[in-house]
Amino acid sequence: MGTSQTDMELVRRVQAGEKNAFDVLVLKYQQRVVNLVMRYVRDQHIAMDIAQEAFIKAYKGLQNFRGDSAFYTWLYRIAINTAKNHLVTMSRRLPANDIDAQEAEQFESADGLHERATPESEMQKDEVHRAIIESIEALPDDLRTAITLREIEGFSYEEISEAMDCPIGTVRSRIFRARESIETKIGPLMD
Amino acid sequence: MNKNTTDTTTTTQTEYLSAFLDDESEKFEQRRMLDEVQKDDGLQQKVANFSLIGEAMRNEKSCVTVQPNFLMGIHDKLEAEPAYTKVYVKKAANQSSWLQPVKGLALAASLAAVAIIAINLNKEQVPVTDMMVQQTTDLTESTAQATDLAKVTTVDGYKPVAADGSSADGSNIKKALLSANTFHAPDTAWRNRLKRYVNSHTKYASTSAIMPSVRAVSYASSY
Repeated sequence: MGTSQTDMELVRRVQAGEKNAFDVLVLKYQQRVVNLVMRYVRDQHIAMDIAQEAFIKAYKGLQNFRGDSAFYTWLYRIAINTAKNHLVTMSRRLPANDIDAQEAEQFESADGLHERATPESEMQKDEVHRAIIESIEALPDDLRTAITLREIEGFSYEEISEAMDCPIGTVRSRIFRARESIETKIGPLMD
Repeated sequence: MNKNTTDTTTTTQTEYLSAFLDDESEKFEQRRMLDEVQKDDGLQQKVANFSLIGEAMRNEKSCVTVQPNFLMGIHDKLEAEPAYTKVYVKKAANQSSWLQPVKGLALAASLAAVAIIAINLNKEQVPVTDMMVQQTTDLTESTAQATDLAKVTTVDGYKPVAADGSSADGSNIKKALLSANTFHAPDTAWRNRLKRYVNSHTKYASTSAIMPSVRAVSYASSY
């Protein structure tokens, strides 16, 4: 993903006592952590609680984080362990094998780990999700390609500029415009 | 016109934010953006929304939308923990911004107090210093006079006589005092008297006491 520089700067700030720098890390990764935890527990509210607990553990342990791994890898490990501990506490059946952070993100069929979703929570999450997918499909080709290469393929701006045969500044602008366009569509659903 | 300018500025800022989230901004830009994001709720909401978009794209089948109060929940839970509060208070005590100027003021006040005390001490010492200067002057004069008195060739008892033959007593007290402190070789009568004293002392001194004997012998042998 190549986000280590920004994350490390944020981590350094938190370690230096800037509490609100941690807020930025939370806002940046809350979606990923919650979706990761949702692979273990199906209930959205429980997943939120576990994700919050994971962030709290991360905050407490951040003073000892030396940046040997990327921040998000470290955070995801904490999140997975927190989710597993929750399942142990709830006397749930744990998966036979450990799943590391990257595997968990790629893990598409983890139905065995899930609690049953309520229709209400399914509806809530689908609404925003559907709006985002529809917005992406409605984007002009150049914007859609740029943001797809970035978010799904994980390409750097330089790689995208080579793939799309355009300057890096244009790539930056296209990705930003794609995000802005999608955000405008989901804005009313977020309020 | 103003609105357009503001919109352009906001757009530029959001575009920077977008690149910042992708870790595609320069160091300086990154730091500036971090400063902005940390204090701007609107930009923080953008961070959350842009992250949601990315997450939704990566999880095409399903994506949970995090509640807006997620971050507040973390704050509340952290605040509820005594250990955290203790650490936070300690951190605040160490690093709070208001404490730095207070520390500076305390240091400045201490320095000022030391300076005032030093000045006062100097004032109190002025007469002493003047006196010392006077004494030094006197001593210089006395030294000069002593040089003259060193030219004494004959000593009549302890009455110093200057080389030019003038009497040192009476009129010049300083000269008399100086002469009392100046070494003069005793005359023959005094030397005989001292020898007799030493001999008597040696004769009646205890043989077990070494030191007086040594002193007596030593004194006698000097002459």
